[in-house]
Amino acid sequence: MVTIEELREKYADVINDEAIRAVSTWTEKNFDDKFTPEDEEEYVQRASVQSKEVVRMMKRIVSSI
Amino acid sequence: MPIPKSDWVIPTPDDIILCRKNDIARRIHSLVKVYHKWFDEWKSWLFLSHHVLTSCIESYYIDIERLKGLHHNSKWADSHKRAGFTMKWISHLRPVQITSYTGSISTADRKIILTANDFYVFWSGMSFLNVNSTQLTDDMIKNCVYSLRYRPISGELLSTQAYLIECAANGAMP
Repeated sequence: MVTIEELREKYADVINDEAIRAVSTWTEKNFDDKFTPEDEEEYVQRASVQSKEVVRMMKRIVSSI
Repeated sequence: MPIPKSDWVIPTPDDIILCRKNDIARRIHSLVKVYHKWFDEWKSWLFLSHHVLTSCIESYYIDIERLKGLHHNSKWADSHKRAGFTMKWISHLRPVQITSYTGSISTADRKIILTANDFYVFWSGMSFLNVNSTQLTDDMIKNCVYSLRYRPISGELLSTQAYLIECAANGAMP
């Protein structure tokens, strides 16, 4: 299990401004997964709209297990 | 001034977390919200560990960036990869936990409590896809939940499964 505190401690000596800048550039070029904050909202919306059906489905499924 | 390609560094996990901290925070927020939509009825017995969920999402981003680095033509993760790797980490680390198991509880509620994390994994993944819950059969969901619970899983294979589910749900040839 990775926690941010453990990682920060472990990688403290290699984290510097230059590395962050370099990675930010790389991020801009290669890490962009095109999942915008609007997409994130849409994700929640889609999951929420179906919540009643999801609950009904879970109940139905466990009754047959 | 852009850094020349030859000077790029290989990001460490901590670099990735730093760079994606806003995305990580947003994703945690989303998953907390949807958890309450789906499991509010069982809140007396279940809780979502925000610490574990944070680990899930950090691990997700580290893992998916590793994958993109490995497949260096891949510039972004599509919805199937997001679904597959989200399912992988929530399934491994299990943020939905049981608080108490006392008092009067029906058999159906007991079963839901014991499988809540697996259902949470499944619906968290499916919500990335162009799939409506009514398009999914009970048998298929049962099969997926069984796999998540008992079989060795990988993000890559879950991504393929997500792709096939989306094709099947939309009547497309895979």
